[in-house]
This record gives sequence, C-alpha cells and structure tokens, in this order.
Amino acid sequence: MFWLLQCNCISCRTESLRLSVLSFAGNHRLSTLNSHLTHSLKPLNLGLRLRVWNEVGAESRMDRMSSLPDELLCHILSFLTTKEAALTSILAKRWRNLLALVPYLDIDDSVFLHPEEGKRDRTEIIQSFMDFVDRVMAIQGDSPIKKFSLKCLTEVDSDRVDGWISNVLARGVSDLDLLVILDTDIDDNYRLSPKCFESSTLAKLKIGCGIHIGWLSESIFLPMLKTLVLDSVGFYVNKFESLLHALHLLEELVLVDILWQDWDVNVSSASLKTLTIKNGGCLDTLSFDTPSLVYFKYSGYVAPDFPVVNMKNLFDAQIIFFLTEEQLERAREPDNGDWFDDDVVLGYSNVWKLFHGIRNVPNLYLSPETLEVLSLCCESMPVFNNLKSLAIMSDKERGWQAMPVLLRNCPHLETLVIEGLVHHVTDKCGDACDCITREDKGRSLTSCPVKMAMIKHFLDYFPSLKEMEIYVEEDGPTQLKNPEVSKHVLEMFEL
Amino acid sequence: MSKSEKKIVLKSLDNEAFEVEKAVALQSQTIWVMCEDKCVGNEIPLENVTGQILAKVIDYCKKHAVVDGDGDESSEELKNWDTEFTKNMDQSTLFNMILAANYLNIKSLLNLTCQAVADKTKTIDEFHTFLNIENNFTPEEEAQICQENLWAFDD
Repeated sequence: MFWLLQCNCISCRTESLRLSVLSFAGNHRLSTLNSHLTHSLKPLNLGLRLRVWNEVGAESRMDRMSSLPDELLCHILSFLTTKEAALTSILAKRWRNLLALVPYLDIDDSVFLHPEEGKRDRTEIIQSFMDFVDRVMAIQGDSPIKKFSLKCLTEVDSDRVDGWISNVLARGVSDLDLLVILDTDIDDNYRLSPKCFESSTLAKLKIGCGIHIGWLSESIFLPMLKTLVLDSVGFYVNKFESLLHALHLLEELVLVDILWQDWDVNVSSASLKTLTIKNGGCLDTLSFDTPSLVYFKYSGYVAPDFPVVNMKNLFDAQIIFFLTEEQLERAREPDNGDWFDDDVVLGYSNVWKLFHGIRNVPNLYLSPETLEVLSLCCESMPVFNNLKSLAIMSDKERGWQAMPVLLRNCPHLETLVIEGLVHHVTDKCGDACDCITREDKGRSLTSCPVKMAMIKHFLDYFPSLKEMEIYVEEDGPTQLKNPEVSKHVLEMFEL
Repeated sequence: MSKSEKKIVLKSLDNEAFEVEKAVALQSQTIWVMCEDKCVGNEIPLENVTGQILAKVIDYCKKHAVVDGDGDESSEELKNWDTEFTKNMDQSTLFNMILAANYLNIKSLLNLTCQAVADKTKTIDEFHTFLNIENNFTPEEEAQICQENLWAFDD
C-alpha cells in the first residue's frame, strides 16, 4: 500500500516537505495523522518508512498527478462540469477549496439532480443545491470570473438567483449564459435582474428559455457586448429595437424561437456582422437594416413582406424557408378559385425583396423550399452579379422551377453545388425548353431531358464556372450510379 | 518542403537531441521567446522535459504545424488525431505531458491534456485512483462535506 501525505499548511508547501510514506500496515486511515506527522516526523516511530520527496528519483516524482501546482489542477477542473468539480472537494483537504480558483462556473442542476425520480422536488435537495452555489460564491470571494453559466430547471429561490447573477457581474464576468425555468407548470417566468443590462465587462450574453425580459427599460449599458443570444424569449418589437440600438459593439446576434408579441420586426444594427435566425415565426413584415452584416443565416417561415433589406457587405447567406403542405399547395395552384384569400401567393411574391437585398452576396445556400418559393417570383429575380458560389439542395417533393432563371441571373458563378438531383415535377419544370411536354419529364436525371440539357447549358453558358459538384448518395434516387448515365454526364463534361 | 533549412535542435533533460523545423518548434511560446532572446547557436536546452515526453510533444507540434500550414484541412481529422493521441496515455505520461505543455507554453496541448485527464476522472473513485490522491479527511469532516454536497451525489 502506497500512501501519499501532503501537508496543507502554508509554511510547508514546498516540494521538499512533501512526504511519501510506504506503509505495509494495511488499510487503516492515515489521514488523521497527516498534519502532525509531516511536522514531527512521528511516522518513523510508527514503523513506517519515510522518504523525503526530493531524494526520490525524477521519474517517481513525476508520477504524482496531485503534485501539480494549483493553477494546473484548476485548469483540469475547468474541463469538468461544476458538479464533477464539486465532487473533488471531497477528495482531500487541498482539493476542498480548489474549485474556488476556477474562473469558469458551469452550474447545471439537471446534471446535479438526476437521475432519481422526484429528487429535484425534495426541499432538502433544492436547499443543498442553493447552499452549494452560495458556498462556491462565498469561497470565490471577489476573485475575477470569466464565465458563468447557470442552467436551472428546479424551483429555486429567484432572489438567490438574482444574488448569484449580481455576484458574478460585480466580479467582472464577461460571458453569461442563463437558462432558468422556475416552474414549468405555471407561466411564471424568472424575471431577469436589470443589472444584467448594466455591465461594463459583459461581452457575451445568452438568455435562454423561461426568462422574462419583456420589462426591459431604456437604461441599457452594455458597452462591451459583442454576442447576444436570445432563445425562446418573448419580446415586444420596440423593446427589441431599443435593445439593439443600445449595443454599439454588437457583432453577433442569434435569435432562436423568439416569441414576438407583435408582427412587424426590424433587425437594425450598424455593427452587426453575424445574424442567425432559427425558427423564425409568422410575421407580417421582416426588415433588416444591417449594413455591416457579413454572415446571414435564416431558417423559418417566409414573411409576407421585407420592406427594408440592407445588407450591402454580405459575404455568406443561407436561406432555409419553412413551408407547410397547405402553403405549398396554395403556392403551386395560385389560380385555383377555391382559395378565399390569396395572401400566401401575394406574400411569397414579395420574397424577391429579400433576394434583391442580398444580391451582392458571393456565397449563397438555398434549401429546396426556398427554391420552390423563389419560383413564384421568377419575373423579379435580381441579378446576382457577385455570386461566385451557389449551393442548392434539392428534394423530390419540391419544385425546381426557379433553377433556370436563377442560374441565368448568376453571370459570374464559379462554383455550383447541387445536393441531390431530384425534384418535384411542376408545370414549368426546367422551362429552358417549353416544347417538352410534362408527360415526358421525369424527376430524375435521365428521364428529364431538360435537366440534361440544362447541365449542358451550364457548361456552355458559364464561362467562369470552375467547379461543379454533384454528390451521389449510396442509395439515393439519382441515377448517376447507372454507368450509362454517368458516361453520358462525363461526355458532357468533356464538351 | 523548402522551409526545411530552418531547423533547430531541442535537447531534453536526459540529453536527447531532436532536430525539428523551426515552424514546428515555435508553437511553443517558451521556445519562441528563447529563440528571440538568447538562442545560442541552433540548440535549445529544455531542462524540464525528458526525451520520451519531448518526442511526443514534437509529434503533436508536427501534426498541428502541417495541418495549419495546409490551410483548413479537415479540422475533424485533426480532432480525431488529438483524441487518439491522448487516448491510451497512461497517468504518468499524461501528467508529464501537462507539465511539459505548461513549461513549453503550448496552450492547445495543455488544453488537450487537461481535457484528457478530466475525461478520465468523472467519479470520486476515478479521481482517487487516476490522480493518486489520498483522502486526508477525518470521517467526521468527510461526512460534513458529503452533507454539504448532497445534491451532487447520486444516492
């Protein structure tokens, strides 16, 4: 049995006083002896063999992970969740307060409280959790903290949550990530402390589900904030706009599942470089006044109108529209008198405004739905003069009608990526040639002569096309695997 | 590669010499500073690192230098390489790698090795065995700490 004893008092924290003790005495605890022994060297009297650390060979010394300096042990702890790191407090005396030196706190009660059913509802468990966070905060004192992440799905005391957030803000936290759901049954959201919007150090703020910030006042002072992530937060548009207006350095904005309280949304920011909208809801109008924007990712429903789209410096755009089956049907049969209102069709006909706004983008990615929606505004399709790389994903349930027009309007295209070569057969499927009747068209490559002609057309037409990627899935519905078809395509490439 | 003229020699604690391209070695901030300051000739003595560990550090630096040089060659592939690199390292090697990465000031290697230790120590027992820590609490103290951390333990 090999025991390592280590003295924790400050006066003997040097290497030379670390002692290792070889014990043949079996499994009894040496811990109680620890602090006395290292001073008085009594173990000798107990018949234990003692070696002074420095006399031990380098190799053996290096075998002791716990002889790492605090700084490195803390670095290891920073890769653990706070729960795992908290467990280390029970390892040994030295470790008890080591957690206090870790400048990242990642507190997630769902990790703490699982897996036992009902454990999180037990008062003493909740109390123990809150006491723990309080204690960690107390140990850390006013030492600087970089990141504080709190995911709390239990009924904790909101005053204490306020206290924790105030604590880390006062200690100059730069990255704050909050998700607090006090009670899932009733609609009683945690009301975020206004202090979160008054911090001169905060650079990244993430506000997740269950947090109420609808009260947001005019007094926003976040001069360093560069990244803002809002997930499932309810917002009135005017509050949202005044928030953006106050963030002069904001570079990245992520909006996920925002519950808009009204219908005309305007994302306006002079400094914004990256904008991601996930699950954009049903709105009346959506505007972007973001002249510095470089990266734009949108996934969500199509707004009926895009009054302002100012993205002059856009470099990369990804547009993924959502369409319900009903919307799709309406879009495909606009002349069908059965529809009482033509909102959908009218709405989609404004989608050109969005594309007009991003027409200078060099890189563009479109989903199958986006392509189908685009076919409704072929007449107003802008010319993408700077477009160098276009990636299209196709789907056998979605139409391709916009392809020929789109491609004609990309005169300087260099890279064309087509993921999947199947599409839904619509009336004007690949209207490169109207003389082919619908019956003759198929959705796959060989049975759709138009597409063969179109590919040939691409190759003839694009003087600057350098690369054309066609991916074939193992069991995909395209027929490029068919040697004859492949040969055919290859022949065309040689043209 | 044409860069190959620019080589330096790293000498380990146990006098093993490694000839490496400068670009590879300069991923270490410590070596970088040494080169700037007082690099005598082309040989840099590293008094805190054994040859066995230095060889591994150099492997890491080579891999990362090549990939960085080639632009953004699959970061996925590099990640897998990193995982393999630390996967079968024993406690003693990892420990020495951490010290070496810290001494040589190679931040990404320090993160990688600390992460590897963190990955191997998720429970109290793993901590005790892997980090070789002896519990020096009295039973009373231990009971009190357990009580304080009730939520953290699966009971």
